[in-house]
Amino acid sequence: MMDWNRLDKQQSAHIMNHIAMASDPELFSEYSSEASYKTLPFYQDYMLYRITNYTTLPSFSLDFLSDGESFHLLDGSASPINQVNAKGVLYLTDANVIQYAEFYLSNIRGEDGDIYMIRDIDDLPFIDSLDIDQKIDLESRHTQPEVTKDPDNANYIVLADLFYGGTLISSAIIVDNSGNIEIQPRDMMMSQSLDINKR
Amino acid sequence: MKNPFESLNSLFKSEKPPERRTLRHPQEREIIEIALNNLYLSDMGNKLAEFANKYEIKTSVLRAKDSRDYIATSKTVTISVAEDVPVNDPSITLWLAGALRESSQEYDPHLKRVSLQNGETIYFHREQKKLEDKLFWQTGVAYELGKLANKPEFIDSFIVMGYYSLIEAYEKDLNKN
Repeated sequence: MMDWNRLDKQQSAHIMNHIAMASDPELFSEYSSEASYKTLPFYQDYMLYRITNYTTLPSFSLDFLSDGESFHLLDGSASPINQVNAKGVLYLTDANVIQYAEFYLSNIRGEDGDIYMIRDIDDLPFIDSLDIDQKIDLESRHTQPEVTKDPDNANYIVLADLFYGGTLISSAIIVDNSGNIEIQPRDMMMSQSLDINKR
Repeated sequence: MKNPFESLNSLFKSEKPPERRTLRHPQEREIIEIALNNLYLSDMGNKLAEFANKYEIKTSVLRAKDSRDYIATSKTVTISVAEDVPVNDPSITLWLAGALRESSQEYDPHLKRVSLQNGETIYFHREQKKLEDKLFWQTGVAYELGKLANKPEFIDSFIVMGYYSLIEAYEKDLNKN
């Protein structure tokens, strides 16, 4: 995904004013904080904003989806992303659907912690805590994400390995055109598509 | 472990009320009250709660994805709590203890935050001292609540936060003395 870009002082102040109205004016001030953004290839008008207060170490950050006027705090639930999707600003293509699925999953927190879509094993945040055998095992079973389309309903199917709750999950992530996501076991999806091919 | 597919799909379908453009946690008051009441059950926690009262530290709770972030200044303490975390989760008390201790450091000339303009060496040395001091207080609160107030969930929670060795070392030091 793209890197963070710093906003200039005027734009930063504009964003922080919005946030201050909803929280505490002292929490994010131009003296203690900085605002940055990332463009997201699957959204029109909406970008990902991050406000960081550097007063304390480690720094304190909040992430938002925003079009500059409406701010949706990414709070670990699916609601803010679903709400933005409902505004009709989501444009999914073969080229960006993997990034969308990765963005969606990385901003949701489950009972068992964060959900990681694995692209490069070495980028996993906990990789150093695994012993060499576990790492080799993970590498041997991992395959890169790929996209197919369900011929029946035009939904995208992202075949990807997820890591959640200490388990490697070989999954098929079904993404419809409204951005709704459902996850199925990949083996089940593969056997279904084989059945379709037989017909 | 539950079926991971079932568990994940239920997360994606969860419907919450429309965004009210507020960052405050909907159960902010309850969270602060429970955490402060827990702190009063330990000597070290009691000192932190008394500090908050004496200096009228404004405490706020924001809702966020993670429940481990906080900001502490000489006048305010802000912690973040994910909405799906129970309001009486022991980790909240331990994070609040750390944040209050960091706030109280601002009243100690040896632990007060220094600017990077004083030079990187001084800055990082001070930050290291502040971190050690804050961890000492968090460990003390976890230990006192877990072992002395007979609430083992606080020690379990501190261990989950990655500080098993600190509890062990704290107990060893206590036994030595």
